[in-house]
Amino acid sequence: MIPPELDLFAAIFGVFVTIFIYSFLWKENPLSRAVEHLFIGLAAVFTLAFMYDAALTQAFWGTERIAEGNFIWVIPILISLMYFFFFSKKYFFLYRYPVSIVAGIMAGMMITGMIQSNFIAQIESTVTLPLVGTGVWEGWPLPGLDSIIIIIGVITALSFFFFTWEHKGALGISTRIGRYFLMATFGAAYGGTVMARMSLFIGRLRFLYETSYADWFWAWYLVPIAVLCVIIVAVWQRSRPTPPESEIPPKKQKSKD
Amino acid sequence: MGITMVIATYFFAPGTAERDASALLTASVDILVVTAGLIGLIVLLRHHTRNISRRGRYWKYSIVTIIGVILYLIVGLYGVATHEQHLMYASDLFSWVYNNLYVHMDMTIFSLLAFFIASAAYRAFRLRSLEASILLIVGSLMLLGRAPIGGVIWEGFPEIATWLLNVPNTAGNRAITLSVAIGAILLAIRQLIGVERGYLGPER
Repeated sequence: MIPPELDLFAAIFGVFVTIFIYSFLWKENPLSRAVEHLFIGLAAVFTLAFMYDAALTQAFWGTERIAEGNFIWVIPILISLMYFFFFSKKYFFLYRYPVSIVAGIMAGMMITGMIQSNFIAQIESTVTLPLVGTGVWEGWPLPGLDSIIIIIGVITALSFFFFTWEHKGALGISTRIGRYFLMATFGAAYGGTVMARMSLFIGRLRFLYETSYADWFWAWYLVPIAVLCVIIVAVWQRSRPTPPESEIPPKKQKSKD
Repeated sequence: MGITMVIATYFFAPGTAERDASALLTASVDILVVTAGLIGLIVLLRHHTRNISRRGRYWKYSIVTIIGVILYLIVGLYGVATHEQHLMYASDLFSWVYNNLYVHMDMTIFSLLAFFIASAAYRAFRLRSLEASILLIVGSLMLLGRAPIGGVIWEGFPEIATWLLNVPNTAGNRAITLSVAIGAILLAIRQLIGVERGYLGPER
């Protein structure tokens, strides 16, 4: 059971990390960098925890697993321990066995899965498009025009990825039309990404404005304090002498080519 | 392993022993990769520990990463000790840290892109060619159609956005999906026949 007082800590932590990360928009500073490093640490453990839970559920708690006396699931656990030979120079070759097993299984899964869902299913849904009817957009002048546009779009956009012949003549026209369709796709993806990121940003603003604890603490009380922290650190950073040689990143060597 | 998966999927019906064997192989991947994840965490800790001992670039921030890893691991291991099935993420405290501390950082870092994408759009969307114009027009219409203000300005914007999403976007996406599928299948075949061996790591 989590004590409710921890919610106050979560709100304070949330305000400070939000302002510290957004301070990156002004300038990279020690506070934003510290939060980024903390995020990397927590993300690594979270990913491991997620994988650990999946592995433990598969090995122990699923149907006919070790908890029910089926000890065949000890074999993948033992094989997975061979990953630790990654740290041995002498027995490094043993590390390649679990890697090869996983790569083989994943390759098999990719072949079967991709053929079914990303290849056959996509072709099927393109060739079975209805050519009569109102189409996707009601009020569109010609019935079934949407389907024809999709079919032309798929064929021409696919031709853009065809590199066996030079893109000239009929193939050149097809690839040019395909490029327009791809640009429309990227535009739609851009719009979707912007909307998703903006909704995240609005979520952060709402968190700062609306989060409260026991009617006496509001998260936005701390916003000026967090901003002040950023300003103090930025001023302190500017007043510091030049960092020692070890902290200066090496300059990139220009390629002779 | 890969050939077993392919043969079991295409030549044996669901419910047969061979098909079950392929399902077992798929399930065993979850068990196999957790140690790889642990190795990744050890390598991360080793990298930052070395950075601190050598007083390398941003070594002070490496301390923050290590503290974050250790504290969150302690929380996770406490969860393992107290949870009835010894799970980590499923334990109360671990998921509380995720939902109340980690998510703040995650959401804020990912929302930063909303600002950077604006400057990227300025560079990419200049009307220099027909392709860039299509990108600009479709992107703008999508924004107007999906944002509530677009529908207030003109009620046709949401309909246009829906059409763009369902017709030209579907066509382009389908072509990309098909191309990615062909590439992925070829990569998998190259792996299975031993042409692609990069996953084995460096020669030692």
